[in-house]
Order: sequence, then structure tokens, then C-alpha cells
Amino acid sequence: MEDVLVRLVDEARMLGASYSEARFQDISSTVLTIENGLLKAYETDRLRGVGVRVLLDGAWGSSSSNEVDLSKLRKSVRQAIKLAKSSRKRKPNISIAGGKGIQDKVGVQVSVDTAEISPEERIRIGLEANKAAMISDRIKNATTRLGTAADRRFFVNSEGSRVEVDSSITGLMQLSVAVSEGKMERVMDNESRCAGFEFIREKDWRSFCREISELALKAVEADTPCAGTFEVVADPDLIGLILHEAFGHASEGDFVATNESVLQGKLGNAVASRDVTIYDQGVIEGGYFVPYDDEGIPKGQTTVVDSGVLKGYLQSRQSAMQMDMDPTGNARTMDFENNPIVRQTNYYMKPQDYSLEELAEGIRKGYYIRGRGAGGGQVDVGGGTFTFSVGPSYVIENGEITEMVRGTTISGMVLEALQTINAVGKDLKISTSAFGGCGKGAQLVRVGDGGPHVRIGRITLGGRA
Amino acid sequence: MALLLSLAQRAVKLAEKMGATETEAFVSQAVQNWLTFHGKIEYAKTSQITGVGVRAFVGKKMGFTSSSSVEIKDIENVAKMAVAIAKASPPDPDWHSLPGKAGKGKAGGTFDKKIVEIETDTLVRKSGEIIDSIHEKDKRLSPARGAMATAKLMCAMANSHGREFSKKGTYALFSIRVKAEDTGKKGTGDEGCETREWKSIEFDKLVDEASRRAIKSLDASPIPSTKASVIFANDVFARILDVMFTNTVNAEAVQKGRSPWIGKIGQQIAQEDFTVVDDGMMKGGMMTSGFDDEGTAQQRTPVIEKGILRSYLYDTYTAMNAKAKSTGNARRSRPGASGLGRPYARTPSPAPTNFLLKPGEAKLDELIEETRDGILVLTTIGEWLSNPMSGALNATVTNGLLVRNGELSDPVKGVIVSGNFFDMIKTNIDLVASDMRNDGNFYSPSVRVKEMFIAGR
Repeated sequence: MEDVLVRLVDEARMLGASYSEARFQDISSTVLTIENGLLKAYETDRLRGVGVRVLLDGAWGSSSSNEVDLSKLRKSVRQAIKLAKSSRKRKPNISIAGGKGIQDKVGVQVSVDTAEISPEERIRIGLEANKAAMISDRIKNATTRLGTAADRRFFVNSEGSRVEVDSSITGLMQLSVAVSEGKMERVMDNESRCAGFEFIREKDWRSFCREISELALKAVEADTPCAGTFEVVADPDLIGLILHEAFGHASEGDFVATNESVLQGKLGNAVASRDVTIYDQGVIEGGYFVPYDDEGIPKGQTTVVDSGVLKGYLQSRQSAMQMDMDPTGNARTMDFENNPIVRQTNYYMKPQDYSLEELAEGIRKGYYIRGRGAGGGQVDVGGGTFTFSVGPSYVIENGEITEMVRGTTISGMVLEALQTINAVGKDLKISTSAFGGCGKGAQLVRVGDGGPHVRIGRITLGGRA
Repeated sequence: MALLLSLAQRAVKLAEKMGATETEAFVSQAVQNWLTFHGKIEYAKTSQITGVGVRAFVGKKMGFTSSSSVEIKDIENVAKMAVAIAKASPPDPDWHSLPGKAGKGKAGGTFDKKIVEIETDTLVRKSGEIIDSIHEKDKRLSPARGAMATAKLMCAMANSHGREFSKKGTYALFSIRVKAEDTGKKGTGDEGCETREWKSIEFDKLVDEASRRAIKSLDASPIPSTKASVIFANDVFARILDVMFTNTVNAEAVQKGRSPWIGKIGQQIAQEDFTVVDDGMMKGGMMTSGFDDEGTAQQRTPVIEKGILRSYLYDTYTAMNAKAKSTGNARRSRPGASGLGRPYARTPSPAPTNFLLKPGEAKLDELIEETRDGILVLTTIGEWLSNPMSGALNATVTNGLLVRNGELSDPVKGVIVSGNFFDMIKTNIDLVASDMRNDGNFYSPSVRVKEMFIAGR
């Protein structure tokens, strides 16, 4: 494939492109869905294709196809050139930072290749896990999904870069629906790892699924929390989601370069309390595997916030150029059909020194909000409002963690939320998901996030009056 | 189209030869053009993707495999894999069979030649005009982010029982985010639409409204927590209907025990003026099509009539299970210009087509005039995180306006409107407007909820 990609890139240069790149991608995925003891679907998919992007007179053009033979792909190159020629009429004057050719080949450490796993073994593991979730006749639905995906990407550009990345992810997701006296509640969680099938073989999924059902049975009996603004302790699953929504998106360089983000012009300013240090890191235990981005730029560790001070943004080559900064390896695509845009990789908070008990101690009336069962979040980077859901959580009264409350929704303001963090825990957990990801500009990419337990001074909960 | 159908027929034959007792093959081809811009043109993109998905059965055992490679040897591999998975799988005791010969599909207004013919030059010119017009409106305004997309989707299906069909559709999308800046304050306003034909996009009107919202939001802030009336703008309420019904009103959710509507057919689940219809034949609707994704003719299905739950939405499998008839709601993915998805890569399951809440008589202005103390919600984030099982509805307001004594007043953002959707549709919606609008395949008028909790400072 490398030869074909090199020829495409060269051809684009000959047709007038000042820069060109070709991205080949080959994704094999398998998902089993087991619902109430029955295998509902066993689905396998293979997605393969090439995307070409050219820069011509300061204008981008790109084209993609699932047909990967050279003659068809040369048509893609001509299409991309044609589109760039259309765009240049409005003089976009785009240029890109960096430009050092890199050659590398990296992959996730895999002991047992998922391609070698028989359908029988997948079905057995999925059915056993699902059965373990059916612990009561008040569990009206138990859905288990077992997923594996191998994502192979080959990147070539006109500056001599040849970067091959093999990402492999496996995981299991459990949804349990419980009822009680006409009330209904659902709890959902997954555990995923960038690894081979050994991760699936080694974990006790029966306990995992049973726990989700137990949580659903408790949650359906629990009260909805009181709506209003409270002091809370967030667990590592949730602090990752909070950082990702409340701060991560606003720190994405494309939003900053176009002066859309509330973090524009805030470099060097205190944007969080002194206890807060935030990193975006391409490769980290528990996270998604992004050693290089989809512009072939290495993704190391980017310090976004250091002791409360905004130190940097996440950059693509284009946004870096717009801001006269360096690319940070954050230009990512969902697949070969799409263009790289600025995305987070693994966004997390550095731990400090508090235990969970010490964090709760300082709270007279508040909540211990938990990530298990949370469904995600969203942010308005311009207005600075963010929101996310939390799973079944607990009341904190006079420093004690007491009864459970149902999951709910939380919201806050980007420039305020992290300012009110007044204590940071000493634990650290980072996680990712094989079942979904983060959406931006009609593209979904896998991300990781996490951190320690954290105490936040003021956050707004939706709930009952 | 004929090529896609012949690929599907070939896949069926191959799987049968390899031991499948029943097979269905679905082929789709999507062509999409995109243009994004901010102050300048960002990029232009075109993409094309074709793929095939095969459901193979051995008795009551099923396997599914799909691929974006559609050469003969690839299709052979897909068929082989699907049959191998079926053989390894446990049987589904509820499986009856794939459907027989298709009936006639009648719906129209799904294909716009103009969309197929539009050149990127046109999109570039139109974007340029929009960028200029925003700058000219007010010196505080600039375009933050915009997108235009056109797409064409073609599908074909064949199965062992002689059912075969093909269909094609077009989609267009426009979205705009305008930002406002004034002495250190920032605000944004969003608008957009998804349609089936190019000429129905009202660019100027949408840009005007996004601009107005951006200016208003400069001074927006949260308010203290309170109880008040909430007027949901039509497109916001359309999204709430999506969250609350898509995954629960389909027969699969009901049969599998994950719907709050189980056993509620014939019961009053909403107030009398709450009528909902799933209309797969509505002219120009986002999900309008002659056939659903397994070749059953789409139809008009009353879901809630005067507050009484009348029907769930069925595909063939769930209909056979319930000894009912498919309502033509089999879907493999939700198409739209922002992502046609890859319908070939999914097995069908029942989902809404065009889901409409019946409009009332009042104008939106009258809803506002009738409100003493409330909030008009224009845009939200996170409404999709609401819980359709418990009915817990939470939406974070990004653009809202306070209503005081019948008049719009201060802008609001960053508050959560909270309530229980089930209670809300039973007793708490007191005014329904006449202004229908869609968000994707959900269509709703603006509605006023008598009282909700607003969580703020």
C-alpha cells in the first residue's frame, strides 16, 4: 500500500499542490450483542479506504474512496485538486506549521490477536457475562456487548513522512434495566482496553455485569437529588468527563485560533485553582492509543494547565500556524473519509495528596458524584457552558458519604468550574471505551480521560425541586 | 442502482450456496460533498463509500458480516463469514423468517436533482456571501463556524424469498454559528437545518436568527434557581421527543423489557391535545421513503392519539413476534447529510421514520404573551443525556430569554431546566404552538410547560 500512497502524494504535487497527504485505513471490528440471554446479533465489519488531502495556493481540497486500486485513487487526487481550486477563489490563505518528515511504525502491545478468536469463544464469554447480570426478576433487561476493533492506519505525506499505527481495542459493555413499583431505571458501563483478546480472557466479566445489575436495583429505589448548586466530590471516572467537556474542548486550538473559545487570549492566566494540573497525552495506561496523530505528528505529553495557569492549547498543523505555535499531535480523523481536526487524546488531571475521606470531610451538604452509569457530556465553547450526566451518586452530609441518589445532569461554566476546585486526591485512573467516543464536526473519535478524586466548590445539579 | 441490486442478488446466491437456509443482502452507496468555513473557507471535501452487508441464517441461527470492499472475491468472503458465524451461533427461538415479496412503496419527494448537480463552486460562492453578510450586519459579529453539505444515498436489497427493492434519496444540510464580541464579552448564536431539497434551505433567515442570538447572548448569565414556565422552541422540543421516544416506543424495546411504555397500549399516557404520528410518507420528510430498510412499504402510523398510546413501531421480526404487521419502521442507520452512515454495515431494527407532534393553534408570540414568569429556551446542550426510562428530563440552556409579564427580557445561559417528561406530557403542557419545525426526523411545534424547575446559581 505504501507505494500506492507515495504515488498519490507525488501526483498531487505534480498537479500543483504545495503539500499533499494520503491516509490509508483498514478497520476490522466485531460486536456481539446479547440481550436477556439471547445472542441478538453477531456483527463483523471491515472498512477500508484512502483519503487524500492537498493544499494548493492556500486552499484545502480532499477526497476519499473505499476503492483502493491506483487508477481509482488517482481520480481522488484529481478531485481533491479540483476542490482546492474552487476554494482558492475566496483566498483562504491556509498554511501549516512543522514539516519534518518522520518514518515510524508502532502498535498496541497485543498478546492474543483478536483476528484469531473463534466465534464460539466470543459467544461463550458474552452469554456467560449476560447471564450473570440477570440476578433478579426485577432486572427487566440485561444487554451485554462484547466488542473488538483493530484499526490500522498508514500515513504518507509530501514531506517524506511514512507513519504506520496499529491500534487495537477490546471491551465489554453492560446495560441493566431495573423496575420497582412502576418506576424504571437503567445503568450502563463498559470496560475497555487498548490490548488484544487477552484483556477479555483475563477479566471476571460475570462480576462486572452482576455489579451493574446490583447498582440498577439500588438506583431504581433511590431518590432524585435536589436541584441547585452544591459542593461535590467527583470520582476519577467523572473528573475525566468534566475535564474533557468543561475544559478540553475549549482548549482545542481550532476553536482558539478562530477566536471562538472562551480560552482565547488566556495563555499565562490563572484559569483554575492552584491545585489543578492538566495533561493531554497520546499514550498512557488505560487510555486510547495515539502515538501519532493523523498528520503524522508525534503525540507526546502536552501540559495544558500547570498549577492553575493556562500553558498551552491542543494544535493541528493548521491551528498551530494560525497562532504561531508548535503542532502538538492533536489532529485526528474518525476515518479515511474525514479530514483531521483538532481533538483531545487522553485528557487527565495530575493527582495530589488527598484521600477520598479527607475530600468528603470538608463538605456539610453536598454530593459524591460518580461516573459509573454516566452517559457523556457536551459543551458550548463559545458561550462557555458545559454539561454532562452522572451515574448513581451519594449524598454527603457533615463530611459523611450517606445514601444513594439517582443519576442526574450537571452543568457549569468553563471559566468558573475549575477555579472552585479546592482539593485534589492522590489516586489516578484513566479509561477509554471501545463503544463510542467523542463527537465534533460530525466525526466520532475514541478518547481517554481520567484523574483522581477531586473536590469542586460549586457545581449545578439538575434534579427535583 | 441496477448494479447495487445485482451485487445484493449475487451475495444472496453465494451465501445460499455455502449453506445458508435464508439470506438477505443490503448494498448502499453514499456520495457526499462538504464545505466548512469560519471567517474564511476552511476546506472542501468529497467522499464516496460503497458497501455490502449480509445476514445469513442457518435455521434459526443468524450471522452478519459487512464490508466496504465489493469485488466478487470480497463478497464471497462476506457471505462465507456470515454463514460461519450463523453456524457457530445459538438459535434464536423467536426467529420466524425473513419477509416475502415486497409490496408497493408510494412516498415521494425524496430525490432532488438539484442537490446532485450542485458543484463545489456554488457552495464556495454561497459561503462567501454568508461570511460577507455577517460582517456587514453588525461590527460586533463574525462567522465562527459554518458547514454546508449535500449528499446522495442509494440502497438496494435482495433476499432468499424474492423480496428485492432499491431506493435513492438526497439530503442537504446547513449550519451556522455566529460569534459576537463587545468590550471583553463573548457570545455565540447557532442555527441550522437539514432538508431533502436544496431550495428549501432559508440561508438568510437562519443567518439572521443566529446573528440575533449571538448579540443577545453577550449579556447572558445564569439566574438563581427557581420554578417558572418554560417555553421550548420547536426544534428544541423536537430533540426532546427524539430522546424520549426513539429508544422506547419501538417494539423491540417493548418486547425486550426496556421501555416504560410496556403494557400501556390503549392507556392515557398524555393529555388530550398530545397527538403523535409516525409518518413514513410525509412529502419531503427526512426519513420519507417508499420502502424501509428491509423493503416493507413505509406508512403513516398513529402512535399517540389524543393522549392515548395507540401503537408501537415494528419491523418484520418484532411484528412476527407480536403476531402484528410491520409498520415499515426497519432502519439500519439514520441518514442525513452530516453523515449518511453506512446502512449496509448494520442489521435492521425498528425506529421512528418522521415522528410528528401535532401542532396547536397559537402563535409562538402568543405563548410568550400568555407567560407571566418564564423562560424561552432557544438552544440547549446535553438534552440527549435525559433518561427515557425514568422520564428524568434535563437540558442545559445555552441560549434563552427570560419572559416577564408577556414580554421577552434578559438573556440567560448556563441553567438546567429539569422535570419529569412523563408527568409533563400528562398534565403540564398548557400551550402548543402552530409553528412546526424539524430536528432531523423529529417534527414539533413550540410548547409551553406550565412549571418546571430551573437549576441555576
